[in-house]
Amino acid sequence: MAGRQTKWRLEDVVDFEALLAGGAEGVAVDGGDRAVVVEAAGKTRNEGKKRRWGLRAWLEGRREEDGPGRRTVEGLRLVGVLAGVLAFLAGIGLVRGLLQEFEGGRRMFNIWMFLGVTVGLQWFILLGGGAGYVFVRQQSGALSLGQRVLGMFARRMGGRVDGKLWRSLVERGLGYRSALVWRLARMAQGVAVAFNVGLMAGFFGCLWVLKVGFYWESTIFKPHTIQGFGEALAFPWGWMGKALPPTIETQRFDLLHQRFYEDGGGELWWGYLMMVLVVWGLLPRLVLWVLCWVQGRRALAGLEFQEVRHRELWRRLMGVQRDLPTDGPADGVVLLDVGGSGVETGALREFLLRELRVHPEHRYEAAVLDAEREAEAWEAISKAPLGVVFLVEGWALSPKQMDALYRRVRERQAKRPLRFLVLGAVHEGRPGVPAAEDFAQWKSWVDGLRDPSAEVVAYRELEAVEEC
Amino acid sequence: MTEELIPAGVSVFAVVGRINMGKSAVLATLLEVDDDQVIRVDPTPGATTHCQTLPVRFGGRELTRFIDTPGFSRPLEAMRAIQEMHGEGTPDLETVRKFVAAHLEGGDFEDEARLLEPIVGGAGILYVIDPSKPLRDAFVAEMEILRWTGRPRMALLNQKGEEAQEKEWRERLGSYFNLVRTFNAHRARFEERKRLMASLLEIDERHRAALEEAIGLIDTEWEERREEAADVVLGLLEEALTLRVEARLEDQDERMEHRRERKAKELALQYVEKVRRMEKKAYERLLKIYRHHLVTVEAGEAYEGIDLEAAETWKKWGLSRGQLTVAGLLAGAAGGAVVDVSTGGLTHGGGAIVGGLLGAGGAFFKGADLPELGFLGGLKVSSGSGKKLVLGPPKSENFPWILLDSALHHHAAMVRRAHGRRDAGVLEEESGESLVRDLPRGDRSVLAKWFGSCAKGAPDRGMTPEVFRVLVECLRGAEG
Repeated sequence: MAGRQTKWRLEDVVDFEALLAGGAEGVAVDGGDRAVVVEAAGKTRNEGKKRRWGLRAWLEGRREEDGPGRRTVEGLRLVGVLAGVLAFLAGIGLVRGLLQEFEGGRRMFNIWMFLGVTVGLQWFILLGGGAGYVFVRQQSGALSLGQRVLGMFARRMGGRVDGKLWRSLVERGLGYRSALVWRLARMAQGVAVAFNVGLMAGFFGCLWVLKVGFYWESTIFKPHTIQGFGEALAFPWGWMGKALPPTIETQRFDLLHQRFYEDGGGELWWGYLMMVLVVWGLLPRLVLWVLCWVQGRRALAGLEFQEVRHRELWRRLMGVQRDLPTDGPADGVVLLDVGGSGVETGALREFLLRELRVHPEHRYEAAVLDAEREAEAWEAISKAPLGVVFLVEGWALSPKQMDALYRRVRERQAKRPLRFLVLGAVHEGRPGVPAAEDFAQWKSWVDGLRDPSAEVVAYRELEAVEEC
Repeated sequence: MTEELIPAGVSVFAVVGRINMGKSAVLATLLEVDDDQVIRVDPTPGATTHCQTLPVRFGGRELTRFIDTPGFSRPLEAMRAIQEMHGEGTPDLETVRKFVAAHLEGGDFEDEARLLEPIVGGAGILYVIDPSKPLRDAFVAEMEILRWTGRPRMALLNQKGEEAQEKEWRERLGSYFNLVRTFNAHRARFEERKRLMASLLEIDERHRAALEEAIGLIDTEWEERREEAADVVLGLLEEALTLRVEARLEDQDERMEHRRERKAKELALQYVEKVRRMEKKAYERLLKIYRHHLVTVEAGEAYEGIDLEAAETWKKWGLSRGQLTVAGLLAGAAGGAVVDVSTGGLTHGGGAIVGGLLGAGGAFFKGADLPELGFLGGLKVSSGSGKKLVLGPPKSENFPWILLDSALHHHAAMVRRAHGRRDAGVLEEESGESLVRDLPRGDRSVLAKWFGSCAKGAPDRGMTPEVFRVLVECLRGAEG
């Protein structure tokens, strides 16, 4: 299973890009994904393979059964088969069309025309396409006209293959386009193979069911030139000594014995022409088909996945992730300013940190007109790790009010510390030291609570920290 | 409690010292935390009230742990109390353990007991001092107490003030600590953080494997962040260079020159504004990558960005005219060489020569246009009725280099900012000279070629891995 998952096919590439269509940041990655990728990538030390194998394994766990990749490939196959059938029929039709009918019911192929239309035209297109590929498309990576047409039909026949996705594959460099181009080129060569098979089938059919003759004529070329051309075409199989073009002498001999005019020298030519179709028509296409197949495989095997979104996904899947600390110091308290003394938190901060060893995280007011603020205070109180510090003014002890407040806090914080910080007169937000008798009253009230977690503290001016 | 502080198999270090020596700042910088809700860095003496565990976790696995502790507040008295507890001779770990047990729940030495608790539990010691402070007896008392614990220990000189008495400190610390290192919590960069982590290996042999793994992972993570930053810069450059702004021209605009010029000016402003927005977005991503939350890249309500209309920008940043010419020549020659290769050498290098000359000429003459902000594009006939004005990237070949320079400076400022700092505001961009001028010639050529393809509106995707590699190296170099 794992071995199979390491290879990339065209459908995998399409599915992969479809998953990343919205960018790598839009793809949810979890621990399961990472485990799968780490396992697959861990099977090799080669960095390129790690990425290819890892992403392939990730894709396997993510793709839909009937995803765009499968549809695209099915579309390509369907178009290939249809185009192949059409090309096969076109080949048959073309050969039949080349068969000229003369007076007396004689049917003959013009050898020039036969070679030119069946093989010459193909080579003209082939060499033109090859030159276009070498000089233009190899650099630009653009699709040829034929590939564009095949691609368009494949996309439509594949059904619902997103045009944007297709364009992104065609426009992407770095292997994708190459893989797609070679696949389309292979298809085109497959169609050409079918065309050549059609030519051969048509020719064979004509030979089988019809009395066919051959002729050639020329104003410019002499017979020996023609023979030389014919022999040049036959050089690949000339060593066998069979299916060679008839020599001028043979043709003249036949002519002398009236055989040529009767049957057009059919037996002298058909074997040679069939070999021309095989060797100069079919064989190059088969070779090119194999070449395209090999190149397509190489393009897929060489995918680097080095585009921005690939790197981003790879980092998310395989990247080192340090979990940052999120828990702050657990010394936060809620300051509950009873009655709204107006003391500034900043003015109390150092005292709270150094003397009470707590940090004023939130500050609220109680026993004030603003009921909304009070409601927020009760919510915060239930969350403060080190409890609540009541900010109370020395003169303002109202036992009933404080009893009620105390009970309300204890309902939310059953065990956490409660501190009553007794302040003196507050001037411009700064607290003063409480009078001794005021503090004594507060102390007596807190003692009366009989709560071991409750403490009363008098505010005092701090000395500066001793300079070492 | 001790088991909670010192988990088995994890290398633990307690960061101790006198109050207000910058213990929390050291940890904030080391762990890249600039959030006061997580690590409180506060000039108020005694702001750390309790021990706070700060784990170094990778993928949920804790490899190392630091413990921020309340500072020594009464070291001399604590030392005497321990000596008294021990009686004759030199106090040892057991006596310190008893001292901790006696004072942990309150009393005169609650802070000392809290800070010593992880140490008696088995944590190594990172003793932080500020060498700008005079070496007084209280410090000696602290060192004595720490020495009695017998735990592996390292002293960190975290200089906060101007004048340091480092020599005196080092001499004294040398007799109490296994290692003495300098670590400025307000200036330390990645390399210094890494060095500090590596120093821990020298004092804790027991957890060598975990520490080495943590250091390796920290290194890898930094590399990955740099790569992520390179992707952000690559995206910014591609987006800015392929940006086109356009406006449809009415009949009147076409007929009247001044109306057309006005429209072009409006478009130019629009273009510059869009580039600024792109920059801002990219730099905000960089801030996130480098875990900065306190600083921003915007000044006031509007992000200033690079001032493309200022002559100074063009003079200070980007490549010099000579460098532009060479980069243009190399990029052009590389493009032309493709033709030579395609023809199987039939052109005898003519492609490379012509391409190189065209590239160099273009760069030389367009370089002379500085600092005028002309744009590529111009008047185009649109498919519908009327025409439209399209403005592309500035004509100057230096535009992408200036963008890149700006990105490198921002990146450098981010990686140089220590997380122990708590001054919020706009990121301080160091007013350095152009960084792209120092790039190797080959890298400049790669970038020039890619910039050219982007400026034409069709970025060469085949070059992306190479450009990415060059940008990673640029960022590495700019880190300084």
